[in-house]
Amino acid sequence: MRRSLVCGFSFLWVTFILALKPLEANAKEVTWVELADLTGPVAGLDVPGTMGLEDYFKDLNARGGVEGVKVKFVCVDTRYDVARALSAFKRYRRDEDVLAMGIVSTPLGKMLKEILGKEKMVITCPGDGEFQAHIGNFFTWGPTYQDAFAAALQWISEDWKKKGQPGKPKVTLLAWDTPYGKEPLRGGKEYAEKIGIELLTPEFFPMGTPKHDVYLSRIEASGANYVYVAAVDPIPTNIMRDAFAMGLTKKIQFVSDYWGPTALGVGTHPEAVEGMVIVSFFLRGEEAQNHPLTKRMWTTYRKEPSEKMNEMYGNGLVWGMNFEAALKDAIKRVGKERLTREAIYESYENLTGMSREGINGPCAYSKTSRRGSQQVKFYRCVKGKLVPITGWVAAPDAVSLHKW
Amino acid sequence: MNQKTALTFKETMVVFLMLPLVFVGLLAWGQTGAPSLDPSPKQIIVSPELLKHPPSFKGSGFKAGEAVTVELGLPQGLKLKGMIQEEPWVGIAFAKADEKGEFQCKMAPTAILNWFLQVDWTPDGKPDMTKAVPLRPGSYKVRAVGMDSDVVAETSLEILPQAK
Repeated sequence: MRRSLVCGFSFLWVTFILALKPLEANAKEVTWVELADLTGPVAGLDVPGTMGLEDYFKDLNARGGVEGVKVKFVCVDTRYDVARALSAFKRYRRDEDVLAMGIVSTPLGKMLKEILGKEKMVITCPGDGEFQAHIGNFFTWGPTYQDAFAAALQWISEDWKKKGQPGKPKVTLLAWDTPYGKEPLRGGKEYAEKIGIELLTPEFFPMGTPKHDVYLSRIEASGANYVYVAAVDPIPTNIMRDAFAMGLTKKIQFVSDYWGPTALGVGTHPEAVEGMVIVSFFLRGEEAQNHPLTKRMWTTYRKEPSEKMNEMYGNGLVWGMNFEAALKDAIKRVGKERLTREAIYESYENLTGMSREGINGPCAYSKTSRRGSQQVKFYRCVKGKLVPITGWVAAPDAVSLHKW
Repeated sequence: MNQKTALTFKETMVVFLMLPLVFVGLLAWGQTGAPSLDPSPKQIIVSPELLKHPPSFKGSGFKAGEAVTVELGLPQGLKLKGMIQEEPWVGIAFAKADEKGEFQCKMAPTAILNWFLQVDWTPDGKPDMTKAVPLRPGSYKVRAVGMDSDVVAETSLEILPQAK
């Protein structure tokens, strides 16, 4: 009898310890999956962003993680292909160690929104306003595309007045013929009406367009005073190259959205981009390269001088900072052993006002906001450099003006 | 003997209560049927011509309204461009199943360029055909996977050598 009891208890203890072991392992490492576009049309910006995120997690792990919880970084190069991204998403969807994901493609985001339904999971993504209009899993990196467009329209309105010009400025959108390219108008159009700016017929062009003369000729004929460009670097630089060759940069003020020229591009084609204005939610140019955190991380992990850093790298660091803060918040609320996607989701909603050391404006995530921040800065390309022309300014809420 | 095999009242009630469940299960199975995947054509030659006539896929047996990904099976030792390590499957097309659990889709140009032709991309977003590494000839597995249901339908796709 006694022997049976001892055997029984021993068996129970072994089972108990074995059952605890996976929990312990789970608590020590959580996973971030980045469905990145490291090759293809948006690689120019996504590669440095992804590098920043990867380096942030390396640094965080080197500091011991968050209360001992380390972050495993998994990156899949989706090559701007939704089929590949969906298949990779499926692979990690049921992995409980995966607490958050990052994506870069706007069409992919729209598909995942439908797939996930009410399932809670933080997915960080670019600035599609739909995710602010319908609050759910998708947390945008910065202000939405329409909010940035509205901020640019506000700047245009002030610039027009400063120049002493009469009447309303005429503005047109020149953008990729994609959901991203069209997004600024969903709310931006309404904002233009609200502040008395005349929006001309937009011009959309396919990705991979080698020359933009046709679109620029039509814009010139329409009498536009300002052109807002929505395409990913180096395309805005190519547009400026064509506009410069046509003599348009002297007549029209070109303004780019936040995926426009970075310091490296501006330095390579200074004459073409001269005078272009960029609305940005992250530090650019020397401000970014000389920022203590970006400089330390870049030189430590990439072992190159900071002049070789693309400013999107700083954004990648911000994605990492957000996750670290959410992880801290979740551990405080539920404990290491109960870290779930839902807990991280709720923690992202608690990041309101968090500082990102000035690389972005303060965090704007909350229960009612999916915007990474709501502040932008304006830069101008001057003699091969990106020079700030404003401090941080609040971007208007254009999303709420649109009927969704 | 007869008394021993006869069901008690309790047992009869359990069987009686289980019957609707069995019926519903059979009905659900009948609605979706066995999963299937049908590529068209079943044999292809990997060349830029595919961009004009992209391969397409039909399938059935999936959950109504769910997303379905079509994936190409990669034999051991084959790592496609953009892959950090070997992966057993790569997504090449996707669709949404209709109310009958059926779907139809075709490969997008990006999928043909990335996974069949394996091109490089120029910094301004154009495919660089001079760097293409077309998928080698052979018999490849293809499967359709239901995003929510985990239903899998598998078949094969023949990649033929280019005519010389």
